[in-house]
Amino acid sequence: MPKKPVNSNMVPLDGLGIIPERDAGKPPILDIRHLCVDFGGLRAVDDFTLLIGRTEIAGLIGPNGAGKTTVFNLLTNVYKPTQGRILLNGQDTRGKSMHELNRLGIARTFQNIRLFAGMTVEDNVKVGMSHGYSDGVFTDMFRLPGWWRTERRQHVRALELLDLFDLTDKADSLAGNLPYGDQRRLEIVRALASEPKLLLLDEPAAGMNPSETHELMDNIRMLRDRFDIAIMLIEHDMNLVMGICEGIAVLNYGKIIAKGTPKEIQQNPVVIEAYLGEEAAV
Amino acid sequence: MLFLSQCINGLQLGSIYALVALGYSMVYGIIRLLNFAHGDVIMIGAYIALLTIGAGVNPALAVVLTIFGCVFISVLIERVAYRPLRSAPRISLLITAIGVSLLLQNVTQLLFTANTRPYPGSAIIPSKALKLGGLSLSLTTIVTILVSVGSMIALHLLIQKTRMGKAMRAVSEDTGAAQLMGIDINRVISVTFAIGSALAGIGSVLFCCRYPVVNPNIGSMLGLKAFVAAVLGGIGSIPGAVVGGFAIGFAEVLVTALGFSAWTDAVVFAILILVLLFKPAGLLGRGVAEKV
Repeated sequence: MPKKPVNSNMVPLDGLGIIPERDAGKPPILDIRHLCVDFGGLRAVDDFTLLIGRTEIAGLIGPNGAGKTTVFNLLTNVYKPTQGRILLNGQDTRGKSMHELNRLGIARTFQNIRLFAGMTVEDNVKVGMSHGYSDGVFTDMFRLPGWWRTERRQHVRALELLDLFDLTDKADSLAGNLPYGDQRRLEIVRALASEPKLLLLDEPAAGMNPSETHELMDNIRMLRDRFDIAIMLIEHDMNLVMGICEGIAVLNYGKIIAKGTPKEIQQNPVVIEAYLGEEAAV
Repeated sequence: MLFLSQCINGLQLGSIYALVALGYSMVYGIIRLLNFAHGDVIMIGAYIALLTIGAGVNPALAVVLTIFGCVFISVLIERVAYRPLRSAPRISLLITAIGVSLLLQNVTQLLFTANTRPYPGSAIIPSKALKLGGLSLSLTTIVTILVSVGSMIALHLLIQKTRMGKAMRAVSEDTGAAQLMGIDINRVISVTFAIGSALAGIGSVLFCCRYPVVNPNIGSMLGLKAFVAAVLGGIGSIPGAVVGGFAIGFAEVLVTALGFSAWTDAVVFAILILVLLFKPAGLLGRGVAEKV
């Protein structure tokens, strides 16, 4: 697939963060202000403020235990924030249930794969299509004509999505029987099935070898270009993060210690210190 | 011939246990709750049939009303008592279920006294017997087995073939992931309670046709035995509930046939203890490690 060049110049917005220049005319897909969450006495995420543009690929990095996955859990309402607010596509996410948030346009993958292992690959993708295809209970139970129409649409769409990751020929396998790399890819497909505007990927390259990671990088860019969505990812593989992310936030002990372009992050002494320890930074 | 007729007897009792055990297992599979009020919903169903038929309602219609009554009360219980505790510790939910069970028994006792009443079983299924060779089968037995097996097949199709069934399977595998993929868990839970209690309503009619007496406590022993059946089969597992139900039914009939009818309950609960000691995941259950 020929790659279309993407203008990755970052511009400041409202003095709160940077978003890609191409997204500057539109409000950011994600607008997080002063987000905090306490677990008992521990402040796991502290004053987290971040903007993500509508077609941005954003990275969230930081040492283990920094609170990255906690941020994802806050964004998807798995946890309730103690303070602060999240605007997803301009809408406050507070008090929304998880499936309502999915409807508003957010979908995610998980650090430890959470596929429906006992269901087929295709059914996993179809579960991702739970909304937007709702027939009534009776249409469903008695498989009235409407049911078959929906079924055909879902089937075609599921195969299209699976094809993006070369999983079409495994559509009938049980998800739990797929090799590890395919399970990771299937999680992304399942998340895409709900037609998100913002896709959260939690360590998508974990456990992948360098050539698989390289392919994944191409795939992530392809998803953004094809579906015109924003993607936010947590990743430890710095080649991947520096290679595809446009804006990066670095988290340490629940606080953002740096935000910027890959180049800025790589040269930031605070980041180097957080990653390598004090002596190395001197 | 005696052996065969005892087998059919076990099949009848087992299919009732299986129907009730399915309700336990489905609810457990979806929200990890042992719904101890399940047996009492069956008792409510018995009163609905008793009162409606007593008031001159057509027995067929009374059966339909029984099923809908059970569905209504179960969905209501879930909505009022369980849903507010969705994120509470599981022990709170369990205690609430026991509380709801006691509430249903005592309210029924208050309304209709503790007196045992006869159930109009013969109005629902005429007391006829069919002779097949030397074998004498009551119509109740035949209807019970056919209706139960039919319901189980319908349930299987519903879970495997419909979109709601797919959502139920997804929720039972990973509730959080299912919600994040856009599944409305409240809807799935309501439907699960509705289906489980529709089976309970059918079970209520069939059970009371076999033992045609009604009092506010009939549900508790039936519920407990069905619970044992669900645990034996592997709680949360649909095929497990069916296997467990038939196993308990056969065990009871066997113990009775051997002349130890006073020991049936003891044997059933001894099975529970043995299962918990030696195969806590049950015959067909998944030995899932607790998620931390």
